[in-house]
Amino acid sequence: MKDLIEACLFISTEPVTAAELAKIYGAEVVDIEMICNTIVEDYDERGGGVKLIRVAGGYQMVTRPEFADDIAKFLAGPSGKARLSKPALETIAIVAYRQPITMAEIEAIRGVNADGVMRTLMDRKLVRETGRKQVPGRPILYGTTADFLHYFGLDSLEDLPLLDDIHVAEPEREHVMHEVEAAVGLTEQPAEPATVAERDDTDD
Amino acid sequence: MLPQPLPTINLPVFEGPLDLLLHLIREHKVDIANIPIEPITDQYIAYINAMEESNLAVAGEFFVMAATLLEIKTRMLLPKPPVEETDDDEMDDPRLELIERLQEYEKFKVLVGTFQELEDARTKLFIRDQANYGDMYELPVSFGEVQADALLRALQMLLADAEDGDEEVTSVRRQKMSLKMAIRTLARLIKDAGKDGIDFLDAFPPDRVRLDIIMTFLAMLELLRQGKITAKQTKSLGPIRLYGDPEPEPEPSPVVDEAVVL
Repeated sequence: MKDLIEACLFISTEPVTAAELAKIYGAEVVDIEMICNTIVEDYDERGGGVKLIRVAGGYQMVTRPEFADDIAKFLAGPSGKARLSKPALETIAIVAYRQPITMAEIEAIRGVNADGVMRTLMDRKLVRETGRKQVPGRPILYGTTADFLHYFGLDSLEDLPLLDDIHVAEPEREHVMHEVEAAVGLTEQPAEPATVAERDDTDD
Repeated sequence: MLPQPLPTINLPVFEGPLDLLLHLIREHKVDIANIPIEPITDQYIAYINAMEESNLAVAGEFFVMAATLLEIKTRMLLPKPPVEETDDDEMDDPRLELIERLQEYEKFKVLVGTFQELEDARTKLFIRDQANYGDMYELPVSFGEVQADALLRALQMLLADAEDGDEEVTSVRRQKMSLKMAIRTLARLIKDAGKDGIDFLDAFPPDRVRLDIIMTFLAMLELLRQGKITAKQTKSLGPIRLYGDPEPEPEPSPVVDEAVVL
């Protein structure tokens, strides 16, 4: 089974999910996942030119990072040439953390128009429309795509650092308040302050 | 503000008003939670003036922020009104909302670095078929399945060389194609083609006037939505073909009329 899975991973051009393999070969998802993880470890121990990574919810064979420059020569193509601009990265960060989010909400956070940047992100399929917000005007909601995860080498959104862990200045006051409340031991209360804090963002 | 003669300075490019404000705050090493509104406001406005002097178009957002700053400044100068029944703490400091925005924005600025690192690390990994992607980062489309944007891209190609229609003769109005008409025409066209289907491009009227193209495209989407036709693309970026569904004859549903209103 392990060799078969390795073969499947080898020929696939996209991330292969454990669920997919489990369905095709009539196995349990957890078993497939375990096998895939073993293969990941095998490759890492063995070294060689390729490795297996977890990305965008699946597994994919990739070349080792240390060969990046030489592989680019081999492909002789524009490899990773079009990097995202700073505004684009800023915008995608906002979408990633605040999704689903409307254009107006993005603009409120950035303080500038986000039309052009969002178009670029949509063209590159890193962002997509996910629905409509149930407020007057029914504005479009945006979210990140599987390609987004793939582009940044993430397995899932949970791989991103927590927003609360990002420290720029002193910790925020509401953050401290949560901790105090938690310490006091309010059992049902904690859900409420969180929603109130979220609502603050959409005020504008 | 009178434009004072300013020494020539290099103006760094700022992404927006928040970016500029953060820069000013950082430059003066002041606590973000306790912004000295007055000096910061003055500098902010001096900055906008400098931008204008160097003939940079100053985006409207910068002025909005200037107004916000001035408003906060004014409110801080005014004597406090007797305490109303609003949330006590919240309303006390007029700077609070701005500070919260700045703090939030700053986090995302930090995240730019995080995402850049992820991007860097990821571009060092090559996957199969990578050479085929080129600039556009895209996962391969599963064979035989058309994604909505493949249709959109095809539409954009068509529109790019379409004419506006009424350009030459202004007094004579074309007969406008209604969506109902377009659906009927398109459905017939595809039905007549039988099981071979038709090419995406052939679905559009030969004279290719913008409005007709748009109407036909809407008709196509509507028919796809109703499941009366299917679209197939056999390879990534390849031609799209449209096939009729064997069973029903297309009948515009009530939804179509809503679409016309739009």
